[in-house]
Amino acid sequence: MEAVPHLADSPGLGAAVNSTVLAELFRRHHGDLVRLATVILRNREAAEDVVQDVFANVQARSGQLVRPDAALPYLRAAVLNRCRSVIRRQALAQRLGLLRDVDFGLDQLSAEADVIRAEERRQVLAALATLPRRRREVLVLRYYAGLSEAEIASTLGISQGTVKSAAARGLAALARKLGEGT
Amino acid sequence: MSRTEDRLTDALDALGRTVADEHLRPLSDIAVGSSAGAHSPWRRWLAPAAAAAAVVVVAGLAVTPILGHGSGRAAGSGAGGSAATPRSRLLYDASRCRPPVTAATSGGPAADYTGADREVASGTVAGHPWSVWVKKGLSEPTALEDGGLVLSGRWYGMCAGPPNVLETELVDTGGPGIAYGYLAYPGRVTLSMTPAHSMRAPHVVRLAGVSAFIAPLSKSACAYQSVTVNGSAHAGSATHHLELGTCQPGHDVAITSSDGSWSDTSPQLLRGCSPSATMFSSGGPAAAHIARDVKVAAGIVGGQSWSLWSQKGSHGVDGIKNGGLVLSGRWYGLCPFGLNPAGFELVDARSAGVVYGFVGSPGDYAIRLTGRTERQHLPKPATLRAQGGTFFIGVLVRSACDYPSITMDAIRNGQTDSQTLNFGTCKPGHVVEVRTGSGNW
Repeated sequence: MEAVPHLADSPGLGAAVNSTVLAELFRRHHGDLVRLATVILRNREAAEDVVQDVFANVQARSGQLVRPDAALPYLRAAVLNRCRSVIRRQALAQRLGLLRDVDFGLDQLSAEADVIRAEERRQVLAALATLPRRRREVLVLRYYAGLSEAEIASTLGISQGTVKSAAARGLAALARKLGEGT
Repeated sequence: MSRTEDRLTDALDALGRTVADEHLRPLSDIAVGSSAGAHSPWRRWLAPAAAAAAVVVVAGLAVTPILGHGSGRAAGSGAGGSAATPRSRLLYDASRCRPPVTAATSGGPAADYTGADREVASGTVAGHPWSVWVKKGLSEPTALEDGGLVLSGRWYGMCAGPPNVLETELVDTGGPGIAYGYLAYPGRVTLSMTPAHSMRAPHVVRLAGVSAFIAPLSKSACAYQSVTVNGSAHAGSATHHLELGTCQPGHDVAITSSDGSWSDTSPQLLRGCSPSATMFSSGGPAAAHIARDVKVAAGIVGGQSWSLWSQKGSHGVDGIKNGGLVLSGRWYGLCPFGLNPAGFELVDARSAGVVYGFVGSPGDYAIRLTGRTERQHLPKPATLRAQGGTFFIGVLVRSACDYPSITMDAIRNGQTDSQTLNFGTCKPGHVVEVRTGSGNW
């Protein structure tokens, strides 16, 4: 059962927030959240949709949101949760033969940024995409978002021990796929 | 940090750097002209969120009241509106008629309407002076749809036809009736009416891609319970059947129901699109379009993100018609349904083909797609109520280039309206060329 974040369940959330706070959250974190979703989905358009949906949800529940410091973890978790839904739909489409190129986002991004064209980076991202969902998310939050084990645990709703083991196993699997030792 | 960690960090950072803040969607632009209040910084910042939320709101709104039957006249206009069983299925929102066209509102002083119009033709029919007017600043066929006919100093609207390629109205003059309307196909027009000999030699006013007609009737307009008008031009033909209700001298005869069919022999479906929606104009960068539009819905289809956009300042179905679809960052028009109550397009997408379209009529429609070659139903597309119509989008079983023909059935309350498009050239990233089509309304 996946941890589905709810505003009311998040520490520090539950009281009212004023519009200025939410507007400020949007201004400060929108780009970072889109980048996080892009790293997960490898599709910027889809990432923007995901983040937009999350803010729409927050706006609809704005009466429950309060502290900016607590809001960001919630937003991050919500983005990850919606990314999972997108990936599930992609996987379903692929199983049904409706999606021949699951790596669609990489091509799109390649056209937009020369750095991604490097074959080595492409291999790393492709290998990352094959990891189980939890290990992939832990690695992204650790090595892209730079979160601590405690922050990752809070975001994903798992224990720090699970974070640690998922990171270790994910890295080991990644190393094997890339033909190198850890 | 191990080499794997280094490589992972490097790759993720590089991927993240491809998303620059300045290249994200123009969020503040989306707020302009939207329902979000322009004075509230809260709403301005959260405009995209509000736009996304509008998807839910739109889906949850009550259905736009069914105002009329087929020709777009308000039901009950005149006294005969409610008696007959509606035959029309893909209904259209008459509120988009500018000026409104009902039996009750017809026949008013012409001066009340012609101020913003331009006269394009005049003559005399059965002793009545007439003139045809088009709306200034608009191109055909919209200019004629929003214009009208002046008959003996009284105003009779033309608008009722947007869902119909062929549109007909009858005027009760107190003596022999007058039929008028238009056929939205270019070229020389041939018209006939059933019952036989009921319509005498019509005056035809040829405009850009559309022709207005005015014809004397052999009897009073009140003498007909129903009429069927057949119109043809080199680009296609259409039939419009009307069930008629009460009549009142000086007014349009009330229409209790109407339906029709059309058959295009050239891609006339694309005329009047703004922005244009052709194979060549589709698939371009979305930025220029979305800057003047408002996002009303978004989702994922076949692994590709899509979003539906409505033109700022336009309302209801018009907004969608003048808006478009963004699929994986590329722009695709939605206009082709402009002359039809429903329309659809295929996109030669990167993986499987994508089909999208819009039913510009109120109500909940289910969409069924059938490929001619396979004689089987294609995957059911996702549908979404949006701005008074039904938007749909789905993936095809195969490449869009593999379908020479697809029939779309729009089903509501057990009734089905069909539209068949025959496709031509396909080009990756673009809509597939529409060569011919046929359907009914």
